[in-house]
Amino acid sequence: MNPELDLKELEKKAWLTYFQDGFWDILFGIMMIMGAIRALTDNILFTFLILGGVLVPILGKKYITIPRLGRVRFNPDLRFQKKKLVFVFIVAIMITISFFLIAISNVEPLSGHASPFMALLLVLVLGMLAYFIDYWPLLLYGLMMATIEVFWGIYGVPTGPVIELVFGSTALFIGITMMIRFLRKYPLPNEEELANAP
Amino acid sequence: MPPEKKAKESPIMEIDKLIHEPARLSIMANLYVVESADFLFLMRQTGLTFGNLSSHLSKLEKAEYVYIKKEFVGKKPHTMLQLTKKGRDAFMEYRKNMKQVFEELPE
Repeated sequence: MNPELDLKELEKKAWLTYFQDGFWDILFGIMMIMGAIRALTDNILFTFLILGGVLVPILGKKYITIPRLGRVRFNPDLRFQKKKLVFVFIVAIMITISFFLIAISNVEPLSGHASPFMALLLVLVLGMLAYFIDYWPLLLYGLMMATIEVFWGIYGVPTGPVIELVFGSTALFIGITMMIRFLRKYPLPNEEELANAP
Repeated sequence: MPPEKKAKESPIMEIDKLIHEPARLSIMANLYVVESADFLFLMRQTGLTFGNLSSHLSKLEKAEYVYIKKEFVGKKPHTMLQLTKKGRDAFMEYRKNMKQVFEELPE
């Protein structure tokens, strides 16, 4: 029996419950699919939809996850971890916006895909994010996106976007499957009953 | 040494029976690893029913191990739960005693 380890496991379980809803996976799926369609159709609307994908986890957590799972305030150690998560998330958003600006700038050689640099950056940012929040599938998405960058750099269009479409669809499928499982496991509670909680 | 005195000193006799009950142990452990949580979160994490959780929480509140705070989120009433200092200390003591009990068991 190792009581210390059990409590750590319990804390981790409570923390990871919030990642069972699949919204992060859906976000990466949408980002990759929209990026691929953007490249294949050359329609700038899809670039905006990539940015719009960021709203998925934000709105999903507020309107789907919390009403089913409840609210929790983690211990200061984990809260510090959450602050680091917000920091990395802001950096990730800034990088996404930079990519977006580069993509629409049409300034060679900045426009398009600077493969090795971008691939490394994606693995680094998503790896850091995965480490800080202890949710390792994010590193897998980082590796997926890095692979896309490398293939895009070597083979160009349409091979790059087609691989991105396949990876994006995989991530979206994983996310939706997780979300369905989450909705089944955690149905909406009886509001009236909860209002009468001690 | 008289057998009664020896028994009193044994860590197994020091086990807090209020915490030792499985449902309440689960509540205490889940609240120990967070700062505070609402009723729904605890229900999900422990797998207890509404009635069961309410009943055990009342006992823990009576022992001053758990602080129950009623508040409003928007227009909806909301129950937040937190271990008190006494509750945290009692849980730590319980863990210490249990560990000792297991350590003292013969191979």
